[in-house]
Amino acid sequence: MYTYWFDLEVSGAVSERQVETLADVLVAAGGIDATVQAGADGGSVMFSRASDSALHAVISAVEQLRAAGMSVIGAREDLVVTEEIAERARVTSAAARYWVTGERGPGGFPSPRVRHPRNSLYSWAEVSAWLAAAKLGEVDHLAAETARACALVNAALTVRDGLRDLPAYDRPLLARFVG
Amino acid sequence: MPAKEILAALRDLLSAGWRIQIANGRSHAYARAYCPGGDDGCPPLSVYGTPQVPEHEAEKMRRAMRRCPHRP
Repeated sequence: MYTYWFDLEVSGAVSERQVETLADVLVAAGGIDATVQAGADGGSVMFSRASDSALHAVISAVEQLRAAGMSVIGAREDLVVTEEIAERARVTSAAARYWVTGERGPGGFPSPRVRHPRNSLYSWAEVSAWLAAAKLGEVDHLAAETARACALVNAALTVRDGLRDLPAYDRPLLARFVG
Repeated sequence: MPAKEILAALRDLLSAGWRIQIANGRSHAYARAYCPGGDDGCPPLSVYGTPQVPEHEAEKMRRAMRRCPHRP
């Protein structure tokens, strides 16, 4: 068993009742391994799930959120801010910021997945690969596996939503294509 | 009462300007935490009192804190 860290994005209002229902669902499955940060305009649910595979971890989490009445619109791999990169790489926050800006290190630092003036979010899978290439750390294989699983689940969610919106006569074509 | 790791993370949130609202004693959620951004801030963070791994719950709480763009 490994522990996989990822977030699921949810749309629509998430009520306190749904947060409680999710806890019931998780307890029945073995224990609470999710933390909800969502409200009237949706949000996300952070998971640290013990599983044999990242894909199993992400898909089981999506199913549990649905069982709690939440609408899942996407999966996000382990994303980190500069401060976390520094902690994980065991360097100062200033050193990590220099890597990001290219003022130090070999350059080519991964682009943020979510840009924000103060707290951009980076893919830990990409950052750990960059650190390994720069001989500053090791590749986090679990993060890489989680990133692949999230990409697949996002593609599956896109296809599922696309199938729902397609005219009935086109649905078998797409279903056969992905099947 | 939640594990010490969760209480420590709650203290960190408080220090970072978050508002903590303790839930009633019968729910899984021990507290709700609101970021310093107020009405335009991050969605509320629900803190479960009895997670499988308290260290993981605490880490996720701190992630929400670090990712918050409304830090004073």
